[in-house]
Amino acid sequence: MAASIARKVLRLLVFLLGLTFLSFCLLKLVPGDPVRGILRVDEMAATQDQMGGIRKELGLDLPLYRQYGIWLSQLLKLDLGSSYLSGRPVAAEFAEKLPNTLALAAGSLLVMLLVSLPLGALAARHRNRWLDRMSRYMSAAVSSMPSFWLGLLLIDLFAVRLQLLPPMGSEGIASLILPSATLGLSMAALYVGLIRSSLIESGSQEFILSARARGIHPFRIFVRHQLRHSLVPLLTLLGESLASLLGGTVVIETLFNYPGIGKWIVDAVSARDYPVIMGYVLFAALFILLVNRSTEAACRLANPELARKELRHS
Amino acid sequence: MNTTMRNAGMLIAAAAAVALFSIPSPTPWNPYEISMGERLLPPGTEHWLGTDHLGRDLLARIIAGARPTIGIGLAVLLVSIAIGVPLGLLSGMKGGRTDSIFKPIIDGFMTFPDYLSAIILSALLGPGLMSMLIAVIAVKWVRYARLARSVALAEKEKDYAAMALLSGLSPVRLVLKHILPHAMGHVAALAAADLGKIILLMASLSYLGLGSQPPAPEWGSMLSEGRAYFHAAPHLMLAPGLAVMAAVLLAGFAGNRLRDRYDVKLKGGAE
Repeated sequence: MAASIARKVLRLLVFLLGLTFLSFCLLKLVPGDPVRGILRVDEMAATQDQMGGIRKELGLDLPLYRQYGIWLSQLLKLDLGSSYLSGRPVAAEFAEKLPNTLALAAGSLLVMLLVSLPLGALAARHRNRWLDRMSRYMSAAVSSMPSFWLGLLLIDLFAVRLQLLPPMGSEGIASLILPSATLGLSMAALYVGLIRSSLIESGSQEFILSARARGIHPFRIFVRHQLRHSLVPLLTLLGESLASLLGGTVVIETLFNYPGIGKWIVDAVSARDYPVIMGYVLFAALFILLVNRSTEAACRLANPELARKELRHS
Repeated sequence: MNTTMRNAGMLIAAAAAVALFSIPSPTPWNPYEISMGERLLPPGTEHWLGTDHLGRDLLARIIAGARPTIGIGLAVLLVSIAIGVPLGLLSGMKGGRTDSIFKPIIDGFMTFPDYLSAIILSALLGPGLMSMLIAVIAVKWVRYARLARSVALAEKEKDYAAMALLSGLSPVRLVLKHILPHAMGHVAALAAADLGKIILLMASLSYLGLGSQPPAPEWGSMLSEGRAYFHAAPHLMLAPGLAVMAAVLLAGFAGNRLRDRYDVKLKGGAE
Protein backbone atom coordinates (compact mmCIF):
# COMPACT_ATOMS: atom_id res chain seq x y z
CA MET A 1 0.00 0.00 0.00
CA ALA A 2 2.65 2.51 1.10
CA ALA A 3 4.81 1.57 -1.86
CA SER A 4 1.98 2.09 -4.32
CA ILE A 5 1.15 5.51 -2.82
CA ALA A 6 4.81 6.48 -3.01
CA ARG A 7 4.89 5.39 -6.64
CA LYS A 8 1.81 7.46 -7.41
CA VAL A 9 3.24 10.55 -5.73
CA LEU A 10 6.50 10.08 -7.61
CA ARG A 11 4.66 9.78 -10.91
CA LEU A 12 2.70 12.94 -10.10
CA LEU A 13 5.90 14.85 -9.35
CA VAL A 14 7.54 13.71 -12.58
CA PHE A 15 4.42 14.73 -14.52
CA LEU A 16 4.33 18.18 -12.92
CA LEU A 17 8.06 18.69 -13.48
CA GLY A 18 7.74 17.74 -17.14
CA LEU A 19 4.68 19.91 -17.64
CA THR A 20 6.12 23.02 -16.00
CA PHE A 21 9.46 22.62 -17.76
CA LEU A 22 7.77 22.26 -21.17
CA SER A 23 5.56 25.27 -20.45
CA PHE A 24 8.58 27.25 -19.37
CA CYS A 25 10.47 26.43 -22.57
CA LEU A 26 7.48 27.30 -24.74
CA LEU A 27 7.02 30.64 -22.99
CA LYS A 28 10.64 31.66 -23.32
CA LEU A 29 11.31 30.36 -26.82
CA VAL A 30 8.39 32.19 -28.38
CA PRO A 31 9.12 35.75 -29.45
CA GLY A 32 7.56 38.45 -27.32
CA ASP A 33 9.14 40.60 -24.68
CA PRO A 34 7.62 41.17 -21.25
CA VAL A 35 9.99 44.11 -20.70
CA ARG A 36 8.20 46.11 -23.39
CA GLY A 37 4.89 45.35 -21.68
CA ILE A 38 6.18 46.56 -18.33
CA LEU A 39 7.52 49.77 -19.81
CA ARG A 40 4.29 50.41 -21.68
CA VAL A 41 2.44 50.34 -18.36
CA ASP A 42 4.79 52.95 -16.92
CA GLU A 43 4.47 55.03 -20.11
CA MET A 44 8.17 55.71 -20.28
CA ALA A 45 10.24 56.19 -23.35
CA ALA A 46 12.75 53.48 -22.63
CA THR A 47 16.36 53.40 -23.71
CA GLN A 48 18.19 50.18 -24.51
CA ASP A 49 20.04 50.58 -21.21
CA GLN A 50 16.86 50.72 -19.17
CA MET A 51 15.45 47.68 -20.94
CA GLY A 52 18.66 45.77 -20.31
CA GLY A 53 18.53 46.82 -16.65
CA ILE A 54 15.01 45.54 -16.16
CA ARG A 55 15.85 42.34 -17.97
CA LYS A 56 18.78 41.78 -15.61
CA GLU A 57 16.65 42.61 -12.59
CA LEU A 58 14.05 40.01 -13.58
CA GLY A 59 16.73 37.44 -14.41
CA LEU A 60 15.64 37.26 -18.05
CA ASP A 61 19.24 37.46 -19.30
CA LEU A 62 20.18 34.12 -17.71
CA PRO A 63 20.18 30.88 -19.73
CA LEU A 64 16.87 29.00 -19.85
CA TYR A 65 17.76 26.15 -17.49
CA ARG A 66 19.04 28.59 -14.85
CA GLN A 67 15.76 30.57 -15.05
CA TYR A 68 13.77 27.35 -14.63
CA GLY A 69 16.01 26.35 -11.72
CA ILE A 70 15.36 29.66 -10.00
CA TRP A 71 11.61 29.35 -10.57
CA LEU A 72 11.66 25.79 -9.20
CA SER A 73 13.72 26.61 -6.11
CA GLN A 74 11.38 29.49 -5.34
CA LEU A 75 8.44 27.14 -5.80
CA LEU A 76 9.89 24.81 -3.15
CA LYS A 77 9.63 27.76 -0.78
CA LEU A 78 6.02 28.15 -1.99
CA ASP A 79 6.95 31.38 -3.75
CA LEU A 80 5.53 31.78 -7.27
CA GLY A 81 7.35 35.04 -7.91
CA SER A 82 5.80 38.44 -8.50
CA SER A 83 3.62 39.61 -11.35
CA TYR A 84 5.55 41.80 -13.83
CA LEU A 85 2.48 43.99 -14.29
CA SER A 86 1.30 44.69 -10.76
CA GLY A 87 4.52 43.86 -8.91
CA ARG A 88 2.54 41.90 -6.31
CA PRO A 89 3.23 38.26 -5.39
CA VAL A 90 1.47 35.86 -7.78
CA ALA A 91 0.23 33.69 -4.90
CA ALA A 92 -1.42 36.64 -3.14
CA GLU A 93 -3.18 37.88 -6.29
CA PHE A 94 -4.26 34.35 -7.01
CA ALA A 95 -5.70 33.86 -3.52
CA GLU A 96 -7.59 37.10 -3.95
CA LYS A 97 -9.16 36.14 -7.29
CA LEU A 98 -9.78 32.44 -6.78
CA PRO A 99 -12.87 32.86 -4.53
CA ASN A 100 -14.57 34.89 -7.28
CA THR A 101 -13.97 32.11 -9.80
CA LEU A 102 -15.12 29.47 -7.33
CA ALA A 103 -18.34 31.40 -6.73
CA LEU A 104 -18.91 31.60 -10.49
CA ALA A 105 -18.17 27.89 -10.89
CA ALA A 106 -20.53 26.94 -8.07
CA GLY A 107 -23.25 29.15 -9.54
CA SER A 108 -22.84 27.60 -13.00
CA LEU A 109 -22.93 24.07 -11.60
CA LEU A 110 -26.11 24.95 -9.74
CA VAL A 111 -27.73 26.34 -12.89
CA MET A 112 -26.57 23.33 -14.87
CA LEU A 113 -28.06 20.85 -12.40
CA LEU A 114 -31.26 22.85 -11.94
CA VAL A 115 -31.81 22.91 -15.69
CA SER A 116 -30.49 19.58 -16.91
CA LEU A 117 -31.71 17.19 -14.20
CA PRO A 118 -35.44 18.06 -14.40
CA LEU A 119 -35.32 18.53 -18.16
CA GLY A 120 -33.45 15.26 -18.71
CA ALA A 121 -35.83 13.43 -16.38
CA LEU A 122 -38.91 14.88 -18.09
CA ALA A 123 -37.49 14.11 -21.53
CA ALA A 124 -36.83 10.51 -20.48
CA ARG A 125 -40.33 10.18 -19.05
CA HIS A 126 -42.06 11.66 -22.08
CA ARG A 127 -39.80 9.99 -24.57
CA ASN A 128 -40.38 10.97 -28.23
CA ARG A 129 -43.21 13.30 -27.29
CA TRP A 130 -43.15 17.05 -27.90
CA LEU A 131 -41.35 17.90 -24.65
CA ASP A 132 -38.55 15.49 -25.44
CA ARG A 133 -38.23 16.79 -28.97
CA MET A 134 -38.27 20.42 -27.86
CA SER A 135 -35.56 19.81 -25.29
CA ARG A 136 -33.46 18.04 -27.89
CA TYR A 137 -33.75 20.93 -30.39
CA MET A 138 -33.03 23.47 -27.67
CA SER A 139 -29.92 21.64 -26.51
CA ALA A 140 -28.69 21.25 -30.08
CA ALA A 141 -29.15 24.99 -30.63
CA VAL A 142 -27.51 26.07 -27.36
CA SER A 143 -24.57 23.70 -27.68
CA SER A 144 -23.92 25.04 -31.20
CA MET A 145 -23.56 28.61 -29.92
CA PRO A 146 -20.29 30.07 -28.77
CA SER A 147 -20.80 30.46 -24.99
CA PHE A 148 -19.80 34.12 -25.01
CA TRP A 149 -22.42 34.80 -27.67
CA LEU A 150 -25.10 33.22 -25.50
CA GLY A 151 -23.84 35.51 -22.73
CA LEU A 152 -24.21 38.57 -24.95
CA LEU A 153 -27.78 37.58 -25.82
CA LEU A 154 -28.56 37.22 -22.12
CA ILE A 155 -26.93 40.59 -21.35
CA ASP A 156 -28.94 42.20 -24.12
CA LEU A 157 -32.20 40.74 -22.83
CA PHE A 158 -31.85 40.98 -19.04
CA ALA A 159 -29.47 43.88 -18.55
CA VAL A 160 -30.19 46.19 -21.48
CA ARG A 161 -33.82 45.63 -22.42
CA LEU A 162 -35.39 44.52 -19.12
CA GLN A 163 -32.77 46.21 -16.90
CA LEU A 164 -33.20 43.52 -14.25
CA LEU A 165 -29.57 42.55 -13.71
CA PRO A 166 -26.21 44.31 -13.86
CA PRO A 167 -24.42 43.59 -17.17
CA MET A 168 -20.97 43.13 -15.64
CA GLY A 169 -18.70 43.60 -12.66
CA SER A 170 -18.68 41.79 -9.34
CA GLU A 171 -20.94 43.61 -6.89
CA GLY A 172 -22.99 41.15 -4.92
CA ILE A 173 -25.02 38.11 -5.86
CA ALA A 174 -26.97 39.87 -8.62
CA SER A 175 -23.87 40.29 -10.77
CA LEU A 176 -23.20 36.55 -10.46
CA ILE A 177 -26.53 35.54 -11.97
CA LEU A 178 -25.89 36.32 -15.63
CA PRO A 179 -22.39 34.79 -15.85
CA SER A 180 -23.53 31.67 -13.97
CA ALA A 181 -26.60 31.33 -16.17
CA THR A 182 -24.49 31.66 -19.32
CA LEU A 183 -21.97 29.05 -18.32
CA GLY A 184 -24.55 26.79 -16.69
CA LEU A 185 -26.86 26.82 -19.70
CA SER A 186 -24.12 26.11 -22.21
CA MET A 187 -23.04 23.12 -20.10
CA ALA A 188 -26.60 21.95 -19.47
CA ALA A 189 -27.15 21.67 -23.21
CA LEU A 190 -24.61 18.86 -23.33
CA TYR A 191 -25.90 17.06 -20.27
CA VAL A 192 -29.67 16.95 -20.86
CA GLY A 193 -29.20 14.27 -23.52
CA LEU A 194 -26.78 12.25 -21.43
CA ILE A 195 -29.05 12.33 -18.39
CA ARG A 196 -32.03 11.40 -20.56
CA SER A 197 -30.36 8.34 -22.06
CA SER A 198 -28.90 7.25 -18.74
CA LEU A 199 -32.34 7.41 -17.12
CA ILE A 200 -33.97 5.57 -20.02
CA GLU A 201 -31.35 2.87 -19.69
CA SER A 202 -31.91 2.50 -15.94
CA GLY A 203 -35.70 2.74 -16.38
CA SER A 204 -35.76 -0.52 -18.33
CA GLN A 205 -34.00 -2.43 -15.53
CA GLU A 206 -35.94 -5.23 -13.89
CA PHE A 207 -35.83 -3.81 -10.37
CA ILE A 208 -37.52 -0.63 -11.60
CA LEU A 209 -40.22 -2.66 -13.33
CA SER A 210 -40.83 -4.64 -10.16
CA ALA A 211 -40.95 -1.49 -8.04
CA ARG A 212 -43.50 -0.08 -10.48
CA ALA A 213 -45.49 -3.33 -10.31
CA ARG A 214 -45.59 -3.06 -6.54
CA GLY A 215 -47.32 0.29 -6.98
CA ILE A 216 -44.60 2.54 -5.56
CA HIS A 217 -45.09 6.18 -6.52
CA PRO A 218 -43.15 7.06 -9.73
CA PHE A 219 -41.46 10.04 -8.08
CA ARG A 220 -40.21 7.86 -5.25
CA ILE A 221 -38.94 5.28 -7.74
CA PHE A 222 -37.18 8.05 -9.61
CA VAL A 223 -35.44 9.52 -6.59
CA ARG A 224 -34.67 6.38 -4.62
CA HIS A 225 -33.90 3.88 -7.35
CA GLN A 226 -33.33 5.41 -10.76
CA LEU A 227 -31.18 8.37 -9.71
CA ARG A 228 -29.18 6.04 -7.53
CA HIS A 229 -28.68 3.62 -10.38
CA SER A 230 -27.49 6.48 -12.60
CA LEU A 231 -25.22 7.86 -9.89
CA VAL A 232 -21.93 6.69 -11.37
CA PRO A 233 -22.47 8.17 -14.85
CA LEU A 234 -23.80 11.33 -13.20
CA LEU A 235 -20.75 11.63 -10.96
CA THR A 236 -18.42 11.08 -13.92
CA LEU A 237 -20.32 13.80 -15.72
CA LEU A 238 -20.01 16.16 -12.79
CA GLY A 239 -16.26 15.57 -12.65
CA GLU A 240 -15.91 16.28 -16.35
CA SER A 241 -17.94 19.46 -16.09
CA LEU A 242 -15.87 20.63 -13.12
CA ALA A 243 -12.75 20.18 -15.22
CA SER A 244 -14.19 21.94 -18.25
CA LEU A 245 -15.52 24.75 -16.05
CA LEU A 246 -11.97 25.97 -15.62
CA GLY A 247 -11.75 26.61 -19.38
CA GLY A 248 -15.28 27.98 -19.55
CA THR A 249 -14.69 30.53 -16.80
CA VAL A 250 -11.85 32.08 -18.79
CA VAL A 251 -14.21 33.04 -21.62
CA ILE A 252 -17.13 34.05 -19.43
CA GLU A 253 -15.04 36.08 -16.97
CA THR A 254 -13.55 38.00 -19.87
CA LEU A 255 -17.01 38.66 -21.29
CA PHE A 256 -18.49 39.91 -18.03
CA ASN A 257 -15.32 41.68 -16.93
CA TYR A 258 -15.45 39.56 -13.81
CA PRO A 259 -12.33 39.67 -11.59
CA GLY A 260 -11.55 35.94 -11.35
CA ILE A 261 -8.48 33.93 -12.31
CA GLY A 262 -9.76 33.45 -15.87
CA LYS A 263 -9.74 37.15 -16.65
CA TRP A 264 -6.40 37.39 -14.86
CA ILE A 265 -4.72 34.84 -17.15
CA VAL A 266 -6.09 36.51 -20.31
CA ASP A 267 -4.68 39.85 -19.16
CA ALA A 268 -1.37 38.17 -18.32
CA VAL A 269 -1.12 36.64 -21.80
CA SER A 270 -1.23 39.92 -23.68
CA ALA A 271 1.48 41.37 -21.39
CA ARG A 272 3.48 38.10 -21.41
CA ASP A 273 3.50 38.21 -17.63
CA TYR A 274 5.55 35.00 -17.22
CA PRO A 275 5.18 34.38 -13.46
CA VAL A 276 1.39 34.71 -13.64
CA ILE A 277 1.12 32.37 -16.65
CA MET A 278 3.34 29.77 -14.98
CA GLY A 279 1.34 30.00 -11.76
CA TYR A 280 -1.86 29.44 -13.69
CA VAL A 281 -0.46 26.42 -15.55
CA LEU A 282 0.61 24.84 -12.28
CA PHE A 283 -2.75 25.52 -10.66
CA ALA A 284 -4.71 24.17 -13.66
CA ALA A 285 -2.71 20.92 -13.68
CA LEU A 286 -3.15 20.37 -9.94
CA PHE A 287 -6.85 21.24 -10.13
CA ILE A 288 -7.56 18.82 -12.99
CA LEU A 289 -5.63 15.98 -11.33
CA LEU A 290 -7.45 16.60 -8.05
CA VAL A 291 -10.84 16.62 -9.79
CA ASN A 292 -10.07 13.39 -11.65
CA ARG A 293 -8.87 11.59 -8.53
CA SER A 294 -11.87 12.67 -6.45
CA THR A 295 -14.30 11.72 -9.21
CA GLU A 296 -12.80 8.24 -9.30
CA ALA A 297 -13.00 7.99 -5.51
CA ALA A 298 -16.62 9.20 -5.48
CA CYS A 299 -17.57 6.66 -8.14
CA ARG A 300 -15.97 3.91 -6.11
CA LEU A 301 -17.93 5.00 -3.04
CA ALA A 302 -21.17 5.17 -5.02
CA ASN A 303 -20.67 1.74 -6.50
CA PRO A 304 -18.43 -0.59 -4.44
CA GLU A 305 -18.72 -3.16 -7.23
CA LEU A 306 -16.43 -0.93 -9.35
CA ALA A 307 -13.72 -0.92 -6.69
CA ARG A 308 -13.87 -4.70 -6.42
CA LYS A 309 -13.56 -5.05 -10.19
CA GLU A 310 -10.53 -2.76 -10.23
CA LEU A 311 -8.88 -4.83 -7.51
CA ARG A 312 -9.41 -7.99 -9.52
CA HIS A 313 -7.90 -6.41 -12.62
CA SER A 314 -4.80 -5.03 -10.99
CA MET B 1 -35.83 11.81 -37.25
CA ASN B 2 -36.55 9.82 -40.38
CA THR B 3 -34.26 9.14 -43.28
CA THR B 4 -35.88 11.61 -45.67
CA MET B 5 -35.34 14.45 -43.24
CA ARG B 6 -31.74 13.42 -42.68
CA ASN B 7 -31.13 13.26 -46.41
CA ALA B 8 -32.69 16.69 -46.79
CA GLY B 9 -30.41 17.97 -44.04
CA MET B 10 -27.35 16.57 -45.78
CA LEU B 11 -28.44 18.14 -49.05
CA ILE B 12 -28.89 21.55 -47.43
CA ALA B 13 -25.50 21.25 -45.74
CA ALA B 14 -23.82 20.25 -49.00
CA ALA B 15 -25.54 23.02 -50.94
CA ALA B 16 -24.57 25.60 -48.32
CA ALA B 17 -20.97 24.42 -48.35
CA VAL B 18 -20.74 24.48 -52.13
CA ALA B 19 -22.35 27.92 -52.30
CA LEU B 20 -20.02 29.37 -49.68
CA PHE B 21 -16.89 28.06 -51.32
CA SER B 22 -17.64 28.54 -55.01
CA ILE B 23 -19.39 31.88 -55.33
CA PRO B 24 -16.69 34.53 -55.05
CA SER B 25 -18.90 37.40 -53.88
CA PRO B 26 -22.63 37.27 -54.36
CA THR B 27 -23.11 40.75 -52.95
CA PRO B 28 -22.03 43.94 -54.75
CA TRP B 29 -20.13 45.04 -51.63
CA ASN B 30 -16.46 44.59 -50.90
CA PRO B 31 -15.94 43.02 -47.45
CA TYR B 32 -12.82 45.16 -46.86
CA GLU B 33 -14.02 48.48 -48.27
CA ILE B 34 -14.26 51.10 -45.56
CA SER B 35 -16.81 53.86 -45.91
CA MET B 36 -17.05 56.07 -42.86
CA GLY B 37 -20.23 57.76 -44.08
CA GLU B 38 -22.15 54.51 -43.70
CA ARG B 39 -21.04 53.42 -40.22
CA LEU B 40 -23.24 51.15 -38.09
CA LEU B 41 -26.23 51.21 -40.43
CA PRO B 42 -29.05 48.94 -39.28
CA PRO B 43 -30.20 46.15 -41.60
CA GLY B 44 -32.02 47.65 -44.59
CA THR B 45 -32.73 47.30 -48.28
CA GLU B 46 -29.33 48.43 -49.47
CA HIS B 47 -27.15 46.68 -46.88
CA TRP B 48 -29.22 43.63 -46.03
CA LEU B 49 -27.54 42.93 -42.71
CA GLY B 50 -26.40 46.52 -42.11
CA THR B 51 -22.82 47.77 -41.83
CA ASP B 52 -20.12 47.54 -39.17
CA HIS B 53 -18.17 50.22 -37.29
CA LEU B 54 -16.10 51.00 -40.39
CA GLY B 55 -19.04 51.06 -42.78
CA ARG B 56 -18.24 47.65 -44.29
CA ASP B 57 -21.17 45.59 -45.53
CA LEU B 58 -21.90 42.91 -42.93
CA LEU B 59 -23.39 40.34 -45.31
CA ALA B 60 -20.33 40.53 -47.54
CA ARG B 61 -18.10 40.08 -44.50
CA ILE B 62 -20.10 37.10 -43.23
CA ILE B 63 -19.83 35.42 -46.63
CA ALA B 64 -16.15 36.25 -46.95
CA GLY B 65 -15.67 34.97 -43.40
CA ALA B 66 -17.10 31.54 -44.18
CA ARG B 67 -13.95 30.58 -46.04
CA PRO B 68 -11.40 31.40 -43.32
CA THR B 69 -13.67 30.13 -40.53
CA ILE B 70 -14.76 26.81 -42.02
CA GLY B 71 -11.67 26.40 -44.18
CA ILE B 72 -9.26 26.84 -41.26
CA GLY B 73 -11.44 24.53 -39.19
CA LEU B 74 -11.22 21.85 -41.87
CA ALA B 75 -7.47 22.32 -42.27
CA VAL B 76 -6.93 21.99 -38.52
CA LEU B 77 -9.05 18.88 -38.49
CA LEU B 78 -7.16 17.26 -41.39
CA VAL B 79 -3.76 18.03 -39.88
CA SER B 80 -4.88 16.59 -36.52
CA ILE B 81 -6.02 13.40 -38.27
CA ALA B 82 -2.83 13.22 -40.32
CA ILE B 83 -0.75 13.42 -37.13
CA GLY B 84 -2.95 11.39 -34.80
CA VAL B 85 -3.96 8.41 -36.90
CA PRO B 86 -0.47 7.21 -37.98
CA LEU B 87 0.93 7.65 -34.47
CA GLY B 88 -2.04 5.85 -32.95
CA LEU B 89 -1.76 2.97 -35.42
CA LEU B 90 1.97 2.73 -34.83
CA SER B 91 1.50 2.71 -31.07
CA GLY B 92 -1.28 0.11 -31.20
CA MET B 93 0.39 -2.20 -33.70
CA LYS B 94 3.90 -2.13 -32.28
CA GLY B 95 2.87 -2.41 -28.66
CA GLY B 96 5.75 -2.96 -26.22
CA ARG B 97 8.15 -0.11 -25.74
CA THR B 98 6.69 2.12 -28.47
CA ASP B 99 3.28 1.87 -26.87
CA SER B 100 4.64 2.53 -23.42
CA ILE B 101 6.03 5.83 -24.74
CA PHE B 102 2.84 6.92 -26.51
CA LYS B 103 0.22 5.74 -24.04
CA PRO B 104 1.20 8.10 -21.19
CA ILE B 105 1.43 11.01 -23.65
CA ILE B 106 -2.05 10.29 -24.95
CA ASP B 107 -3.47 9.78 -21.46
CA GLY B 108 -1.74 12.92 -20.21
CA PHE B 109 -3.27 15.04 -22.97
CA MET B 110 -6.67 13.45 -22.49
CA THR B 111 -6.84 14.41 -18.80
CA PHE B 112 -7.11 18.08 -19.74
CA PRO B 113 -10.35 19.38 -21.21
CA ASP B 114 -10.11 20.85 -24.74
CA TYR B 115 -10.86 24.44 -23.86
CA LEU B 116 -8.45 24.62 -20.98
CA SER B 117 -5.49 23.11 -22.83
CA ALA B 118 -6.16 25.18 -25.95
CA ILE B 119 -6.35 28.38 -23.90
CA ILE B 120 -3.21 27.54 -21.92
CA LEU B 121 -1.27 26.56 -25.06
CA SER B 122 -2.23 29.74 -26.89
CA ALA B 123 -1.35 31.62 -23.72
CA LEU B 124 2.10 30.04 -23.71
CA LEU B 125 2.64 30.60 -27.44
CA GLY B 126 1.35 34.17 -27.37
CA PRO B 127 -1.59 35.67 -29.27
CA GLY B 128 -1.86 35.20 -33.04
CA LEU B 129 -3.43 33.05 -35.71
CA MET B 130 -0.47 30.65 -35.97
CA SER B 131 -0.29 29.90 -32.25
CA MET B 132 -4.04 29.35 -32.12
CA LEU B 133 -3.76 26.79 -34.94
CA ILE B 134 -0.90 25.01 -33.20
CA ALA B 135 -2.82 25.01 -29.92
CA VAL B 136 -5.98 23.55 -31.44
CA ILE B 137 -4.06 20.88 -33.39
CA ALA B 138 -2.08 19.96 -30.26
CA VAL B 139 -5.36 19.45 -28.44
CA LYS B 140 -7.15 17.56 -31.19
CA TRP B 141 -4.60 15.07 -32.57
CA VAL B 142 -4.67 13.07 -29.35
CA ARG B 143 -8.32 12.06 -29.83
CA TYR B 144 -7.47 10.57 -33.22
CA ALA B 145 -4.34 8.91 -31.91
CA ARG B 146 -6.35 7.29 -29.13
CA LEU B 147 -9.06 6.16 -31.52
CA ALA B 148 -6.61 4.69 -34.05
CA ARG B 149 -4.66 3.02 -31.27
CA SER B 150 -7.72 1.28 -29.89
CA VAL B 151 -8.81 0.16 -33.38
CA ALA B 152 -5.33 -1.25 -34.03
CA LEU B 153 -5.30 -3.02 -30.66
CA ALA B 154 -8.67 -4.63 -31.37
CA GLU B 155 -8.00 -5.56 -35.01
CA LYS B 156 -4.56 -7.06 -34.63
CA GLU B 157 -5.98 -9.69 -32.26
CA LYS B 158 -8.47 -10.89 -34.85
CA ASP B 159 -7.93 -14.08 -36.85
CA TYR B 160 -7.72 -12.41 -40.23
CA ALA B 161 -4.78 -10.27 -39.13
CA ALA B 162 -2.89 -13.28 -37.81
CA MET B 163 -3.67 -15.21 -41.01
CA ALA B 164 -2.53 -12.35 -43.18
CA LEU B 165 0.76 -12.10 -41.30
CA LEU B 166 1.23 -15.90 -41.38
CA SER B 167 0.67 -16.01 -45.11
CA GLY B 168 3.48 -13.54 -45.55
CA LEU B 169 1.79 -10.15 -45.80
CA SER B 170 4.11 -7.52 -44.41
CA PRO B 171 2.84 -5.73 -41.30
CA VAL B 172 2.98 -2.39 -43.13
CA ARG B 173 0.71 -3.69 -45.87
CA LEU B 174 -1.60 -5.24 -43.30
CA VAL B 175 -2.02 -1.83 -41.70
CA LEU B 176 -2.43 0.03 -44.97
CA LYS B 177 -4.80 -2.44 -46.66
CA HIS B 178 -6.91 -3.68 -43.75
CA ILE B 179 -6.58 -1.81 -40.50
CA LEU B 180 -6.36 1.76 -41.79
CA PRO B 181 -9.55 1.51 -43.88
CA HIS B 182 -11.26 0.03 -40.85
CA ALA B 183 -10.10 2.90 -38.65
CA MET B 184 -11.10 5.58 -41.18
CA GLY B 185 -14.83 4.94 -40.72
CA HIS B 186 -14.57 5.64 -36.99
CA VAL B 187 -12.31 8.60 -37.70
CA ALA B 188 -14.80 10.11 -40.17
CA ALA B 189 -17.63 9.92 -37.64
CA LEU B 190 -15.50 11.53 -34.93
CA ALA B 191 -14.17 14.14 -37.36
CA ALA B 192 -17.56 15.34 -38.54
CA ALA B 193 -18.67 15.94 -34.97
CA ASP B 194 -15.33 17.58 -34.23
CA LEU B 195 -15.53 20.16 -37.02
CA GLY B 196 -18.26 22.04 -35.16
CA LYS B 197 -16.34 21.84 -31.89
CA ILE B 198 -13.21 23.18 -33.57
CA ILE B 199 -15.13 26.11 -35.07
CA LEU B 200 -16.59 26.93 -31.64
CA LEU B 201 -13.23 26.60 -29.94
CA MET B 202 -11.54 28.88 -32.46
CA ALA B 203 -14.35 31.43 -32.21
CA SER B 204 -13.83 31.53 -28.43
CA LEU B 205 -10.05 31.85 -28.75
CA SER B 206 -10.43 34.64 -31.32
CA TYR B 207 -12.89 36.32 -29.01
CA LEU B 208 -10.34 36.22 -26.18
CA GLY B 209 -7.92 37.93 -28.54
CA LEU B 210 -5.76 34.80 -28.74
CA GLY B 211 -6.65 33.90 -32.33
CA SER B 212 -6.95 35.65 -35.65
CA GLN B 213 -6.65 39.41 -35.55
CA PRO B 214 -8.67 42.13 -37.34
CA PRO B 215 -9.27 43.08 -40.14
CA ALA B 216 -9.67 39.43 -41.26
CA PRO B 217 -13.40 38.77 -41.72
CA GLU B 218 -13.26 35.64 -39.56
CA TRP B 219 -16.48 35.09 -37.59
CA GLY B 220 -14.84 34.84 -34.19
CA SER B 221 -12.88 38.06 -34.57
CA MET B 222 -15.93 39.77 -36.11
CA LEU B 223 -17.78 38.91 -32.92
CA SER B 224 -15.11 40.40 -30.73
CA GLU B 225 -14.91 43.53 -32.93
CA GLY B 226 -18.67 43.96 -32.78
CA ARG B 227 -18.70 43.73 -29.01
CA ALA B 228 -17.62 47.36 -28.55
CA TYR B 229 -20.68 48.54 -30.48
CA PHE B 230 -23.02 46.10 -28.84
CA HIS B 231 -25.46 48.68 -27.50
CA ALA B 232 -25.51 50.93 -30.55
CA ALA B 233 -25.67 48.15 -33.13
CA PRO B 234 -26.65 44.71 -31.80
CA HIS B 235 -26.89 43.35 -35.36
CA LEU B 236 -23.07 43.36 -35.49
CA MET B 237 -23.04 40.57 -32.92
CA LEU B 238 -26.14 38.77 -34.04
CA ALA B 239 -25.17 37.92 -37.62
CA PRO B 240 -21.73 36.34 -37.07
CA GLY B 241 -23.04 34.46 -34.04
CA LEU B 242 -25.89 33.02 -36.08
CA ALA B 243 -23.41 32.12 -38.82
CA VAL B 244 -21.23 30.20 -36.35
CA MET B 245 -24.30 28.47 -34.95
CA ALA B 246 -25.53 27.46 -38.40
CA ALA B 247 -22.13 26.08 -39.38
CA VAL B 248 -21.81 24.09 -36.16
CA LEU B 249 -25.35 22.74 -36.44
CA LEU B 250 -24.77 21.66 -40.05
CA ALA B 251 -21.49 19.99 -39.14
CA GLY B 252 -23.24 18.15 -36.32
CA PHE B 253 -25.97 17.11 -38.73
CA ALA B 254 -23.44 15.67 -41.14
CA GLY B 255 -21.68 13.98 -38.22
CA ASN B 256 -24.84 12.20 -37.07
CA ARG B 257 -25.51 11.09 -40.62
CA LEU B 258 -22.01 9.66 -41.00
CA ARG B 259 -22.19 7.90 -37.66
CA ASP B 260 -25.55 6.32 -38.43
CA ARG B 261 -24.28 5.18 -41.77
CA TYR B 262 -21.19 3.73 -40.27
CA ASP B 263 -23.12 1.98 -37.50
CA VAL B 264 -25.29 0.30 -40.13
CA LYS B 265 -22.16 -1.09 -41.70
CA LEU B 266 -20.97 -2.35 -38.33
CA LYS B 267 -24.24 -4.15 -37.77
CA GLY B 268 -24.07 -5.63 -41.26
CA GLY B 269 -20.61 -6.96 -40.52
CA ALA B 270 -21.68 -8.58 -37.27
CA GLU B 271 -24.46 -10.65 -38.82
